[in-house]
Amino acid sequence: MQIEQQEIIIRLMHVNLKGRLDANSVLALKDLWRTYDEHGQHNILLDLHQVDFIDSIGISTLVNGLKQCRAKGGDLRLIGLQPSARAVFELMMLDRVFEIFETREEALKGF
Amino acid sequence: MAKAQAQPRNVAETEVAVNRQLQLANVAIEIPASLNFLPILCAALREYCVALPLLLESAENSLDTVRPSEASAARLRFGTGPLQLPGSRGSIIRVSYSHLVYSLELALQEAATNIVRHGYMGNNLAERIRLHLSLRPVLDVHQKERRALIIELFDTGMTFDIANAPYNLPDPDQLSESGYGLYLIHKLTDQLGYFQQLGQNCLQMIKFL
Repeated sequence: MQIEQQEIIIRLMHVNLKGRLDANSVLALKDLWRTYDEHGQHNILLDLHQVDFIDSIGISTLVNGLKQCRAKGGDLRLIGLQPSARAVFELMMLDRVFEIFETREEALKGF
Repeated sequence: MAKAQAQPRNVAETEVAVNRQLQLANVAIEIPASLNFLPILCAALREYCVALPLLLESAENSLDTVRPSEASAARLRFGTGPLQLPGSRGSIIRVSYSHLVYSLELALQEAATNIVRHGYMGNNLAERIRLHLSLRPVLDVHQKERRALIIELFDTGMTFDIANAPYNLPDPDQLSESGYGLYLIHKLTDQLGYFQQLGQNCLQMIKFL
C-alpha cells in the first residue's frame, strides 16, 4: 500500500491510499495516525478511490483513526470508496459511523 | 453442439464425465503461513473466478442434460458489469461479477488471516497454508443438490473452536476494532464447515452458484 499526504488547509490532512489496505499493510497507516496524534492533526480526509481491496483489519484501522480524531474534536472522513468496499462497510454497519462522501468538495463542507 | 442427439448415459458414465471436469476445475496452492503471502492466495482465487464461467459451462456440458443455446450465448462478458453465468436447468444467473469476486476474496482473506494470527500465533515461514478451489455439487440445508464453488483452507496450526466462535457483528456504535472477521466470513459465504483431516484443519467455505 502507498500513502500520499498533503495538508490542504491548516490542520486538515488529505491522505491518498493506493493498493490493498489489509492485515499486511495496516502498520504504515497506524504509524501515520500516531504521527498525526503527536502533531495535533485531528482532521483527516481519507481518499480511498485507489484502494482496490480492504479487509476487516484495514477497516478496523480506519475505526482506530476515527476514534483518535473524534476524541480530539476532529473527524476522519472517507471519500472515493469503491462500490464493493462500500458494501462491506454497510455489511459491518460502519457506513452509519463514518461520514462517507463521493467527492473531496462535498467532504470539505463543514470540516 | 450435438447435445440434443446425445444418447442417455447411465449414472456411472455421467459421474466419470463430471469427475473429469472436476479434475480440470481443481486448483491447489500452498503458501508459507505469513500475512505477506496472503495476496498470492487472493490472486489465485481471482484467477479462478475469471475462469469460472467457462468452467461452469464446461461442467454443464459434461452432464447429460439438454442444454439450450444459452450455454454458448453465455460466453461471458468479463469486467465490472453484470455477468451471466450458465445456470442449472437452463436458467441464467445474473450476478454482479466484481462484487461476487470481491466477496469471496474478502472471505478468503479473513479466514487465512485468522489462521496466521490465531492458528499459528503470527507469521511463521516454517508452516504452511494450502488453498484448494473446486466446483462440485453440494447438498444445501434443504438437502437439495446445488452447484457450488468450494474454497478450502488447510493448516496444521491450533484447532479452531468453531462451535463457540463469535459470529455476531460487534455493536457499530461501540467502534470496535476487532471481531469482524468471522462475521464477514459467515455473511459472505453460503455454508461453512470445519473439520480435521489427516492431521490438518480444514475450513470449508461454500458459495452456491
